[in-house]
Amino acid sequence: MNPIATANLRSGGRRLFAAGAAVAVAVAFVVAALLMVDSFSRTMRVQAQAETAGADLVVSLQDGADPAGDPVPDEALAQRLQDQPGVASAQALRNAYAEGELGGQPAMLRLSEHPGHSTSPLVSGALPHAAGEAVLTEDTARVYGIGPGDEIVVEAADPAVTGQPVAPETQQDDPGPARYIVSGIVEGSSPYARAYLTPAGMDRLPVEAWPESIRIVLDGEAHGDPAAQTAVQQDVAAVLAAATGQEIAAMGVQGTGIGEQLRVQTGEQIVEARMQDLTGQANVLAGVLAAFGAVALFVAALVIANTFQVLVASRTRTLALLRAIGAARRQLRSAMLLEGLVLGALGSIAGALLGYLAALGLGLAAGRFWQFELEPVAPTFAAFVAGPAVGVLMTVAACLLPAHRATTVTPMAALRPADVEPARRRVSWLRLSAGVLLTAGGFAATVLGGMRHEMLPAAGGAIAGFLGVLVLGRLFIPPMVRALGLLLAGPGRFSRRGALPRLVAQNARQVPGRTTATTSALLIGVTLVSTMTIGAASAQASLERELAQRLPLDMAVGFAGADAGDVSRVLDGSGLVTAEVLLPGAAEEARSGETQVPVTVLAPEPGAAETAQVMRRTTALPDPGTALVAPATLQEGDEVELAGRVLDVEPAGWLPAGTIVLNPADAAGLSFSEDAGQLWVRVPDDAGSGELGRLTAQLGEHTEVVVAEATLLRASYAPLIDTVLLVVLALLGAAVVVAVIGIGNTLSLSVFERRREAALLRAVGMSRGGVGGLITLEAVLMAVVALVLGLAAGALFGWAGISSVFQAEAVPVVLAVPWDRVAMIGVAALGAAALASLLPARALSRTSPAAGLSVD
Amino acid sequence: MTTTTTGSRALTAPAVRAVALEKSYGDGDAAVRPLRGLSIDFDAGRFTAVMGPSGSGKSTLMHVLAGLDAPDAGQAFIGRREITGLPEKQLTRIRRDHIGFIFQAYNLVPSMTAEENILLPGRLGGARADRGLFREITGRLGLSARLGHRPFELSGGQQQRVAVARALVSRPDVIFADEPTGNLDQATGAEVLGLLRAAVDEYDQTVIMVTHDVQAASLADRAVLLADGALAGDLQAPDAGRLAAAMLEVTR
Ligand SMILES: Nc1ncnc2c1ncn2[C@@H]1O[C@H](COP(=O)(O)OP(=O)(O)OP(=O)(O)O)[C@@H](O)[C@H]1O
Ligand SMILES: [Mg+2]
Repeated sequence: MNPIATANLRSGGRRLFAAGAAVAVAVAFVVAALLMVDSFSRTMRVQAQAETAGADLVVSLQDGADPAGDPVPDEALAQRLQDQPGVASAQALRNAYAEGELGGQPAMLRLSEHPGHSTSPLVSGALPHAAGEAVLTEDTARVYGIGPGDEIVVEAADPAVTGQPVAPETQQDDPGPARYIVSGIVEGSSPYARAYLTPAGMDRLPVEAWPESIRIVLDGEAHGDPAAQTAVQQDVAAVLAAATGQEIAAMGVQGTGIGEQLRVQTGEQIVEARMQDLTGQANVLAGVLAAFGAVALFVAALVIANTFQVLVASRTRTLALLRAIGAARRQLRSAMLLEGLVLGALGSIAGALLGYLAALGLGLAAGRFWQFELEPVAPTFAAFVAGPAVGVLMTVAACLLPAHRATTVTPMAALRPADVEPARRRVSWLRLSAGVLLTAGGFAATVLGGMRHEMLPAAGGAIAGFLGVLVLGRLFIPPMVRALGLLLAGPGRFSRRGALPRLVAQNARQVPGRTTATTSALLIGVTLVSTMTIGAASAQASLERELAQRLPLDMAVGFAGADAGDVSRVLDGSGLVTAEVLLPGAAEEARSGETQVPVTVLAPEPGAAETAQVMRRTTALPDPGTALVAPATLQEGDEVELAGRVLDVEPAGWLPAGTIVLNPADAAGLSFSEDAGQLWVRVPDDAGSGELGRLTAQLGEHTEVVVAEATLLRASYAPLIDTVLLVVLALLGAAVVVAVIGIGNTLSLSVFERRREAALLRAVGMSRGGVGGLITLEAVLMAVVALVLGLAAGALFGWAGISSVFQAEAVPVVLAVPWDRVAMIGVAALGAAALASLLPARALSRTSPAAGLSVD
Repeated sequence: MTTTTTGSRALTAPAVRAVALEKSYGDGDAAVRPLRGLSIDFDAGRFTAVMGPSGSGKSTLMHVLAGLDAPDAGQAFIGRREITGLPEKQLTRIRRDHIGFIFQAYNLVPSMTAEENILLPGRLGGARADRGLFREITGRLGLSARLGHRPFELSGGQQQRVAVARALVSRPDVIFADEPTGNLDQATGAEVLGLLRAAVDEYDQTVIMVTHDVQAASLADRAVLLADGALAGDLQAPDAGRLAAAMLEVTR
């Protein structure tokens, strides 16, 4: 091996540890992602196979066909196929989704008829025979911890929970829940709770069951024979075409189509079609993961480049000596690259193992916590070769620049007196112009992309702009740290209090490279996290505003025929009322064109404080001369005649049916009473859809008019945004961990550089605590600078990201900064910096004053 | 590591030659000119001492002659080969194959053991070291027991001896030594000087050594004196007395 590389690795040892850890984390992320995607697609294949288990041919609805249309794969069609030559059996299966309980736990259930031909072996118990029996898949039984003898409850569809206004007719024939006893468990996995019933059991369901497919099993030898399957497939298609009077069309893996509704597929075709669908999904998943993997790798590359930069700086003298005694530039470069290669290889191997373990853990967690049973994670060639290869390549690539720098050390550098380095080189022209170009171009593209709602320029611009900031960091980060230090030091040159910050400020000027590197590591982390946080908050605020625009009222409760006391008891008991106002109403006849309809007229005062508290936007209330009219109240016309006045009609989807809202100026002469009025209610922003559903259902027992569409919408997307944010932050975790390793890394690397400085400070009388404090203060000041820059960049990127995703017309985007979360990011960043500085601070404060005098 | 035979170091051709070397730092009033048209020949197979007041340009001359630094004008030769204006690659090869160095300090690669440091030039050149010569030289320098140690585990004198061993083992044509004994006590200094002497006498190498010490210089075959970047004296077979007098002259 290259003698220089060996020696370098020996001396690099501890300093390379953090860089190796960064490689490992990044590679682990990539490997885990690849393994998870693999496990995911295998799971899908197994599930697809299980779906067809045992059937030779399946007649089902085409994608996009109408399940309520005609023809559907029902019993009648199955009868016609039954007598086909070669067909042993043709069974029509029905399918239903319902909410219910498994062993007392709420669950979303998929219920279907048990295919008589199913090859899925029984794990325990027996197949269902009676109408009240059911079998579960093994996964379902395990996840919910139930077995034969336990009870399944299937709830009737609850209109209140689905957010639909309760219509009185459906309320009356509520069939109530159906109960089944688990008779056995069959093998199989599925992403949701799955139960199979007998045909009679299906008939008992309190929810509608749709014809799903006809499963055909072939006679004797032909069963399982692909050639026979294809042959019979054509016969079956012909029979179906004749029965329904429609054309036959070949549809590739989609099988043979009959008209627009039906298709016949072989088992094989079904699995393939499903896999084709899923490859699309898996590709999206892989793409998202790859993007985050790239971020993690990029951050790791920065850490590595930093490490090697510092190594080159600390080895300048040695490099010069090597040059002096005849080492060629090429030799120094290849030694450095070899060092990177070894580091990359070791880090990648560790990372691959780490990633494998993480994937195993995730696979287990998916089953346990999200009840999503995945095929066991298995090492794949791609994960264990591609992941580490990318890691090694990335590491070596990150070494290129430092390696080049190593070769520019002149032999004369060995002969200069120690530590009397000439002023650091200025930022080179190349770097300056590249940086300015990247920054200006990148940010311009980001802003434009945000304004024109185009994702590609916004995202690409953000990456380029941020790179530009990193490239230019040397220009403005050290002065910022210096300014902060001086600010903290306050006036008075020699004040005791100001001594430490003043030293920090001087250091920032003396070692701009190190200051920039440390700050950059943190800057990356802060920018990533604040982009996501601010982006999510902006999305939420934008949707919120849009919702307030369209639906300015949360809930309107009508009193017609209801007991006001009951209604307010329900409302008060729910704890979901932040403000309410009782608006007296007038029962009137409204005329529009030829029709005359009874309506409830309300006339809230737009300026009233109560109205403002309840409504999310009082500007929604009408001006004089205009009437807000609930949809489907008037048949036609853009004018309405009410109590002798003619008013312009403005449709308002947020009003309960039969309601007209007037400006008080137009309401003179109408007789208002509370009995005919409505209670307008505002609910908390974070009200969950469950509790809202309960409230609307309870209110529905007392009164007929309830509108809570806005609140339900709000309730439905708020957790979604939170979940997405959580997932994204978890994915970002890898990148952030690497960034934190990065700060710790540069800080500890600085220990090697700073031993002499620390010893000198100690020699001239600085206390141990002082030296340690210096390091920590420096780290904290750098963190403050990283926070300021990172939050600014994050605000821009977050806004641009959301704005580029949303369509302008649909949702105008507002920038929202969630100050509580920003404060958390701040605390985390300062904490991480302080924490990362602890070890180096301790190490340096222990430097003996004599250490500064020894050579190397 | 040279294969050059003694014969090629013909007395007729100097081992090292400087012709009208010019070097200056800075401009205008602040300008320093460490070399002012300096021309000098160093004979092969001889031990030459370079003396002169501080700042007279001794180190600068050594750097230029050894191809570590480029002069502003003039030429430098190693053997018959002109090294001024050579591309970096060839210069590196000449340094590796034909030149040895001993500096005042920072002689060794800190992460390598004494043995690795000594064998480094040969390994950089891809040549197999002469184990016999290695054992002989390290033995004579009293390093045999310390070969596995890293520089920070060695005393200043031991480090200096390792540097000397490195310069000897690869058997370069010319050894440049810039104040090699400045850091050392009397006894160790004498030992290092003895080895340089031996390099000339026994291995027929050329040694050019900068020193402030007239005792050290008196071991040389010849002493040249520099003052203000120009030659100010040239003594053959100098003794301490004459050197001291000459130095006094130059300094005045
Ligand atoms: N890199 C440099 N930049 C500016 N001036 C330099 C540089 N190197 C040397 N000099 C100047 O050149 C002059 C000669 O320096 P040189 O090191 O050759 O002196 P020297 O004779 O070796 O002195 P000493 O005996 O103190 O080692 C000095 O005045 C020195 O200040
Ligand atoms: Mg000198």
